[in-house]
Amino acid sequence: MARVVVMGAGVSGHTAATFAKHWLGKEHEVVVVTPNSNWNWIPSNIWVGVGEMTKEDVVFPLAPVYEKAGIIYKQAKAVSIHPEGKEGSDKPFITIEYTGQGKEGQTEEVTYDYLINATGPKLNFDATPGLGNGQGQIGPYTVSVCTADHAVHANNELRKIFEKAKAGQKQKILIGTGHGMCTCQGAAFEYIFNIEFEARRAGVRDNLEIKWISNEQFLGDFGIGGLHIKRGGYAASSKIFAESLFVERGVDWIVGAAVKKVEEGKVHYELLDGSEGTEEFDFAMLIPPFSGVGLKAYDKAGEDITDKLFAPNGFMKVDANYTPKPYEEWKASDWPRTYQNPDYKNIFAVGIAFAPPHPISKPAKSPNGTPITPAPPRTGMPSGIIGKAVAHSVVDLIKHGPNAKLHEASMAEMGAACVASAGKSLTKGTAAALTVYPVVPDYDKYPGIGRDLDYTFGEIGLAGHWIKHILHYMFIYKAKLKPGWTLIPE
Amino acid sequence: MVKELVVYPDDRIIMCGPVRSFKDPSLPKLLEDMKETMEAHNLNALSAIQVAHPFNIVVIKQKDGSYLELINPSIIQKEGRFESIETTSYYPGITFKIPRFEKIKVLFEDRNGNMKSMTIEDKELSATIQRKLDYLSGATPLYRLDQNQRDRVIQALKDKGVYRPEEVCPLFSKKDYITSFNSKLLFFMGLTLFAPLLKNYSPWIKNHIQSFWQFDKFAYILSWILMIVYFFYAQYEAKKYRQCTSCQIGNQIGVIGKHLLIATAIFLGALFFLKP
Repeated sequence: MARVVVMGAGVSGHTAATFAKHWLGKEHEVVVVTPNSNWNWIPSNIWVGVGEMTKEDVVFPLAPVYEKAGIIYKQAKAVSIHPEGKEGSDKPFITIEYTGQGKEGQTEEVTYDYLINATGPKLNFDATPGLGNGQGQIGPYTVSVCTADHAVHANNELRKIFEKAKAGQKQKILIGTGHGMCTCQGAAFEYIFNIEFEARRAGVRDNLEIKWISNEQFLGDFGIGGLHIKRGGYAASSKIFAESLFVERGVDWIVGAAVKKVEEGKVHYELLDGSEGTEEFDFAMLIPPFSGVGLKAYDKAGEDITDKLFAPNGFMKVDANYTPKPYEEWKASDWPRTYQNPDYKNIFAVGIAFAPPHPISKPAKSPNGTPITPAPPRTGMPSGIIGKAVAHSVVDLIKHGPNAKLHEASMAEMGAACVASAGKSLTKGTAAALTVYPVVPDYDKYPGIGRDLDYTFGEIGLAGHWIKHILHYMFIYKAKLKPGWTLIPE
Repeated sequence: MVKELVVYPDDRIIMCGPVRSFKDPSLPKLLEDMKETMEAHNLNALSAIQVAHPFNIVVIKQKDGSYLELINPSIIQKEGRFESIETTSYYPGITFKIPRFEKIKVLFEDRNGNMKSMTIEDKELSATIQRKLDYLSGATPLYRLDQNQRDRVIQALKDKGVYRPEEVCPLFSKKDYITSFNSKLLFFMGLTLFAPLLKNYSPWIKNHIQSFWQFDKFAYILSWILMIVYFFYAQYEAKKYRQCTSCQIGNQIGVIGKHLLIATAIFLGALFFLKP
């Protein structure tokens, strides 16, 4: 009997664990280690953040789902990886520290035959002074929609702003990224337009000034260098698409900005030209930068080999080309295909946990040396696809031996669909539905813009909202492993 | 070398990408060619895509006669709005009124790849740069107009004898033949539901109730097939048009949903009233 240990139960980890168990059956063990008791459909957190959904709508308890699936569930955080075992045993293991199940604070060693690292990101609020509280948590001046609890808090604060606006007080809302190296601009994009939509619905829009601040070099970059949408013989950039929406909805914007410091009611930022500015706010939702979760790694002798397994940003090294090189030499082939660690072949990393070789957007620094470049997104559809491909590889390695061919899911050969909400209502809602292929531009295969325009689509409208709403229920249905879940795509 | 200008309806204007390598010797050559082209055509600004080179490059002729080369430019700050009256070599003889920012700060690279920035306070120059940057994003000035203005410009272009069929949303497209046929099919299906009411008055109807049921079964299946064909044909057709409300997938799904809902309702009625 082989044991597969999955660290993390987000989109990629949950996908990997459930498919691995589904394909392996009762003959082998799948263990999930996650500090969370609930699964969270993160894309819908923005609707919790505007009060259109409750926390309970976007989360469900993991324990009964894993029990039904026959997956061993340990509510614990992974602390360290020991890929060579320890003195007296060659069996690799991880150490974990329980956060629930009545064993809080207890530690345990969990041995594995195959390890899938799907720990996701650490929300690194403290990377920007004032954005965090100095202890790794969100600070007192801003809100976030990165977790369901954060989103509940964000909505409570937003209601206070709406109340003041109803009373005739002018209020300023600032939404965007809280650091020069953030990713997930899409979530902030959805949140700002949902707030704008709710403000109109509540009749308080006239008393709200809503502003966007982002580390993107242009509106519509989204961390993937933007995309072109072909329609009727033209290929308009997402920049034009986004600018049109911002102007139409009366939302002003600042781009190319690295937020350097947050104070009560004020952010300080630096622009790509090196100039500095401040922006006041009554309500701010700023996405934090992501980093690895801080896992340590040790060899058989107990020596620290964290640098061997992880990149400096804390994400795990996989089969990518990490050789530093200038932007013009970036290749689609730099991106990983199998997500297998090059040193320890029984370790894989999926979703945000794997270290990307470089950003997707063009890197930029201010004259003062501050990097202001969106980090590459590894969330949503690609993370699910990668999780499933890695599960497939691990299953084949177990069933067919170490020479089994690994399954591949390169982001440079993979398309992605994104439905970005701009207002939630069954009759008046809107969402932008976009597809892009490939996620990482391949300038050799598709000269010019690096993408295949025949597979790139974009439209905004009510139908997009319906799709987003249907996807909410469909993916939660799938994650709960209800009948037919394997048929639902990632 | 003076380059040929891309003029409407030439679709080589459609898209361009970033300049990635500054070591390529064709870059300085292209910049010089663009300047010669501007001189030859008496232009004060030109984007590379307007001479069919799909790269994010804009060259501006300044008031002192010197040239400003903007490679991979983007606007990182803007202030104020005004209505800019503009012309462009892509649409010869057409004047546009477009809302633009009064002041902008542009971030760009020079021909050696060094990042620079520049604040533009001159309204006219600011608008010119914004117009050129639009071309780099796949948008001609037409894209910045509202529907009414766009229709007027397209009419003016048609009057000059040039237009791209895909600019105009068709009043009647071939996919409408499918919905029209299906509507007639549904009408006749609906008529059959009256047969049970009329069978006592007409022996012919009484004798053909079974046939009506057979027809409804056939028509119901045919209606589904027609809607599937409609969906795929509409998708194919939508790719041809730049601006077309009826081409949006939401509308197509709505049309299909409406037709199938009616067909299903009639079929259920037939199942209840007609099935022997």
